[in-house]
Amino acid sequence: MIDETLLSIQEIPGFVKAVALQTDKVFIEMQEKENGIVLVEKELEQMGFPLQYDSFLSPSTLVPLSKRIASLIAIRNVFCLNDEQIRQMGSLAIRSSFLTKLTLRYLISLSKMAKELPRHWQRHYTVGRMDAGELHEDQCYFIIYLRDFKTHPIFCTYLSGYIIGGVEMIGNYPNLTIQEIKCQHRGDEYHEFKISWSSNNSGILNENG
Amino acid sequence: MKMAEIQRVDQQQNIDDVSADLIDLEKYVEDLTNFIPLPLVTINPALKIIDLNHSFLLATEYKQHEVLSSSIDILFKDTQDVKSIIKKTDDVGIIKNYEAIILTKTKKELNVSITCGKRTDENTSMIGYFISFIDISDLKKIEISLHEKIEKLQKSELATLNIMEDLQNTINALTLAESQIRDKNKELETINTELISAREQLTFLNRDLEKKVRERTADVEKLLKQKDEFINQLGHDLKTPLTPLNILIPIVKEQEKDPKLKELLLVISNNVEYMKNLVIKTLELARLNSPITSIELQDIDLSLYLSDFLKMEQILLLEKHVIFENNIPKDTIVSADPLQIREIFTNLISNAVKYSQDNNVKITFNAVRQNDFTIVSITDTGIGLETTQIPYVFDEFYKVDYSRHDLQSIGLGLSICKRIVEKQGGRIWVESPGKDKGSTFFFTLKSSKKNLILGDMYEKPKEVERDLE
Repeated sequence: MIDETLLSIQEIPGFVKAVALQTDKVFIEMQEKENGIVLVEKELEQMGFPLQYDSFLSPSTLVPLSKRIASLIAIRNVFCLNDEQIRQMGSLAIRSSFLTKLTLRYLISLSKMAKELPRHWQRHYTVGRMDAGELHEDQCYFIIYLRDFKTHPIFCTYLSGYIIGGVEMIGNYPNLTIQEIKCQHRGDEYHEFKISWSSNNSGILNENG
Repeated sequence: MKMAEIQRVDQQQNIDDVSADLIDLEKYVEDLTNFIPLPLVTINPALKIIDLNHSFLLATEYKQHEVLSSSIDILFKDTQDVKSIIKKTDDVGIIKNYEAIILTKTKKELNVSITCGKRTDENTSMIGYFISFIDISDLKKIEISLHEKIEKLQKSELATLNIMEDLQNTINALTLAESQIRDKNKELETINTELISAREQLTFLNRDLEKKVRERTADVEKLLKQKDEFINQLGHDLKTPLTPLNILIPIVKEQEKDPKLKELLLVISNNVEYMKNLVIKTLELARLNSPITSIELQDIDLSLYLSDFLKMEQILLLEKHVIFENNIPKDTIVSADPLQIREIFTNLISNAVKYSQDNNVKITFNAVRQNDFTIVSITDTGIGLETTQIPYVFDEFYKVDYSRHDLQSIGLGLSICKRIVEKQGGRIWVESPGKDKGSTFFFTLKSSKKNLILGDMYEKPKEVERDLE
């Protein structure tokens, strides 16, 4: 299973909080496959990224970002996931992440989310920068940028689901979709995600209480 | 530069320490939240579930990822409850004991009492709601059961009231009836007193009456005895002068040569005979009518008795060519006075012979036992009776038209028969199909206990049966 992509993963710099791998573990356990954790850990070992999911007692522990990407790939391989399922994995992560919940308790609107994005990213990752671009609720779209973060395309898919999950938790946005219109893996300077929804709903019921 | 680096490292250390404290605090809060047995859920202003505790998951059967970011609506059976809860909470800040029905993942309905409070940030801006609830399903069941019991009790109470009302009405009716009965009792007591008085009077009157009846009876018996004595004396007095006439007139008639006088003497002789018979029959009737005249009943074998009687009658009636037919069964034993039975037979045969159009008369005798009586019938082929004559033939001195001027007929024969039969506890009657069609006389006699004849021995006329019934 080890290919050239894996070799490049080894080169990914930076760290991520262990909470990310804890959410991966939750997802694996949800797959209702016997010994799912063992299978994924074996896959990781074969990939050259030995990892024990239970070894991270604190969600704040820093883990090499390469291992986090390897975890995503190993899970995809073991459970034969397609892109949609990987997006669902991202969406689930935001609901099972202890740190994310902590943040979301105070995020009551997209504008607050836009404001909070950089801090939220830095709380999890030691590399890259996430910030909000245009937010036009009247035109039903929101732009998010991720810069200086070239890891693996699977992470872009995963992150799409994560963002969608976050927006879903904030408000009621019908027909919510996300599109990565720019990607560093496709030669762009940064990642650009466009979140869109239908206009027949006001989204947030009561921003100011 | 070195100092700045040291300060930066210190600041970073402080930040890390604070961050670690915050994480510890957050962990503490989460542990505490999960420890609380009360289901607790946090929703944001868009009513999305953003946090929940362990008790909530237990109560709703959901897993965390299944409900996080979902609308709180999914928990409620009626989403109007959500709008109502939020509106009231927005109005007053916190509401308690709002009753609603929550649906679990398996669609089980939980009756819950909800508490909902607003969440605000440091600027008191609303950032969502806390919702907790208590499962009151068991309480609800008890409440429903209590309501049902209360309804039943109310119905029972109503039914009891109705019964009491009915009872009261019944008591009133009974009281009224009791009052009426008391009044009636008083009336009855008065009537009873009057009756006792009347009875005493009646007893007194009865005693007096009995005494008077005895006296009157004695008087009547005395009078009857006097009457019998008078009649006997009168009969004797009447017969005494007739006896010489009856002897002398035939002698005088025999010696008389003048045919005209001879014919007159015959008339006188016939009238004297008639007078003699009239006196004899009248005396006989008077004797029978007398209550003090006793009869002597004895067992008679009717068939044998009749045979003996007919032998004698046959001699007397030789010139009449009378044919007798005795069909009375043998051993027909009756309890009767033989002399009087003889009188009956004599009268009935005499009538049959006397009123026949020619000399050829047939007289048939029959008898049949009917219960304690024996019905004797005497059928003749004589001139018969018309329907209008039948009711009067037993009357004293009654004569049918064709015998009115017959000096041999006195008009007392059948009356004497009637008195004899009645005197012996029987009855007598006659049937006739009409004039010139003969007659049948019936009379009953008491059957003797020795009589062995049972059942019909001849075909009875239907009228006989009806009469006997």
